[in-house]
Amino acid sequence: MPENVYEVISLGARYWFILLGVLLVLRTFRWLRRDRKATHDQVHSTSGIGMIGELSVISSDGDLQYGMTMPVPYEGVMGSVRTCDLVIPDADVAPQHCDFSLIPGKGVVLRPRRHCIVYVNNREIASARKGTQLPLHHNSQLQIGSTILQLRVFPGIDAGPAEELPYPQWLMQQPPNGNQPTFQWYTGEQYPLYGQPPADPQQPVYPQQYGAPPHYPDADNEDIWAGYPFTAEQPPQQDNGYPFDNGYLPRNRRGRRHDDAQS
Amino acid sequence: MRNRNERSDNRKQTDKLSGVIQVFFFSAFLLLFLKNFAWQGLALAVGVPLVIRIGTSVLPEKFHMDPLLLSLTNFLCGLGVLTLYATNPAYAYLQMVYYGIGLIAMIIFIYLVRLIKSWGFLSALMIPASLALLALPLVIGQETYGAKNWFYIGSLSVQPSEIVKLSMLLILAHYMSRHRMLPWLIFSVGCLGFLMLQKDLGTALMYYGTALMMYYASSSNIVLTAVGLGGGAGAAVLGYHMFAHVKKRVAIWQNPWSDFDGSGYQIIQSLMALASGGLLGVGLGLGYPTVIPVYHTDFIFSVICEQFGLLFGLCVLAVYVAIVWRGATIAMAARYSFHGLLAMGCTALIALQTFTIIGGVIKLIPLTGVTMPFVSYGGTSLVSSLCLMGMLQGVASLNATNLEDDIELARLRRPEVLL
Repeated sequence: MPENVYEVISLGARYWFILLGVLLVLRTFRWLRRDRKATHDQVHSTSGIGMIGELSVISSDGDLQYGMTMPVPYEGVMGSVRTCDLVIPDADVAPQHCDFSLIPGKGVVLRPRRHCIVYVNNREIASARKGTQLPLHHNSQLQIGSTILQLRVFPGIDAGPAEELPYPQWLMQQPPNGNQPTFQWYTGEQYPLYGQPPADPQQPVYPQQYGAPPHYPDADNEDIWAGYPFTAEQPPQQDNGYPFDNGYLPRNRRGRRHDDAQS
Repeated sequence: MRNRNERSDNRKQTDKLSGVIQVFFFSAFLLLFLKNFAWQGLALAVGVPLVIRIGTSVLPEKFHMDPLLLSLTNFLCGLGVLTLYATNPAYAYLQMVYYGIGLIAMIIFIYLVRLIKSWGFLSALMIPASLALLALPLVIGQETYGAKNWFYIGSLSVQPSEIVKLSMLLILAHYMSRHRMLPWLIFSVGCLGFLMLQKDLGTALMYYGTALMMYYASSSNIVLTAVGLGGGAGAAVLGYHMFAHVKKRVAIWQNPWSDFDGSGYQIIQSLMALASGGLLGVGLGLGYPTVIPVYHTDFIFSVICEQFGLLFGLCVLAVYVAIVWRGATIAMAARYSFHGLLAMGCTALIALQTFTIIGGVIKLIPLTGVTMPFVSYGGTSLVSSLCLMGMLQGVASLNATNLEDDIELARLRRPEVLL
């Protein structure tokens, strides 16, 4: 083709190429925006995406309240700062206290950071280097700082064999209007973990009767506790300062009990 | 049903985007064919859109690829071939061969990321192997443009730093996800030491920046990251005082006209190409892009801007931004921190490399000898960039699989299923 003719065509084609370039960019960013919205909608319409279960608060000296639940991802960091995947606002919890990850078939493996200690079912895990591996299973109890948490794994997630509860399971998982197990964080329902008090106010039944830990609401009310028979077989141990000792006493992050520090 | 709807929606989006890309390459190669009626131009005008069409419709289904990333990668690689064909067709044919090899490598990396569950042993193995590979040019290498970062096996030239950057990402992602600082720190320092000895400061800058970004992503430790940044700045000052060619490059960056016929020739020609292109360009197949030294590798962005104009150059930059955006989204959606860090590392490396070379070409920062990802001519560079994309695609495909599993599990947890 003669050069001058080609030059004219090429000069005209510049606008076409720029138009196509702009169109390409617009379509790309439209796709990105649409994908972002679709993912957002999907995640918010389907609770539990990317989560393996929930940790419910059994007791805490920090800001967490009894019965609060938090979703647990497959892997992450537990600590007291906002950037952690699981935030435990507790003075005895390090900013980044321990790493956790689900190993299918085995459970949730914890790896405490340096100088940090966690307890799984009241057994100490001091450091990942020592090779102590006590994975969390369904119903396992975890103590981090002064906070005691219980893991509840969603159905379909393979986290090893479930553990026996130290108290009747039906009480823990009974929703107010059903008999099937469900999950507070998932359904958004609020109900006590340890069952409902009876409807008749003249017949008070305290949650501790069911083996609830000491930080249950009203646990500090001495009138409630005075002379109360916990169980016939195991009377309350008043000498450690707590009315009911299930072995999960608050500890600081170096593993010392608060009681030890005071004494 | 939802998945089917999503797939058809994705398919529509892919068809729309790849349609634009196909029309672009068809018209561009057809225009070049009209210039001299060479049959290769016509073959490329038909072949490139056809390959893109088949690639974007078959590969995402077969190999769990992200269609958007694949389309954008195809566009950039195709743009490289187009620019090379317009300037020197011999380079374009070779680049197409490298692209084919790179696509196979990309698929292999997707499967590596998907299938290998534990990288502990491989990471420990890769550390000495990578350091040895990086040290090789110091022993048997040849100095090119002031840096001794190449060696030759027969007629084949190899740049080890392009290969080692892949292993670096895997090693860093593995040890950072385990919060084991010492192994990756020793490895990074070793890599940077060898790169400094080779005087390959552009690659050293990329390695350092990527490691720092990955460290911040893994630890959120802003103090140590700031200390690292300060250390990097200190090392740059030290490098400036230690190496004569760094001093020279900075001086040229500050005033290229001081030696317009010598060391400042490259950057001046690049700036003149940008200026002569203007907003709309001089037209495809016109102008004098071959006047720019190394127009096919480091200065290919200047060639693109000269031929297609600055507006189109901005569109190319936007495509890189979209890749980085997508990469960051993939990293954040990853289930395990290893995959998240790997995706973040790939994204950071692509972003840093693009910034370093385009910044150098437009005289925003001193020029360093790195290639423009996916576009520049070069076998090692293109294949390693596509391997990076393979790792990113691998994480994206894992995310997609995990999301499908999660939706199925969430369905099991619905109250009506439980009751």
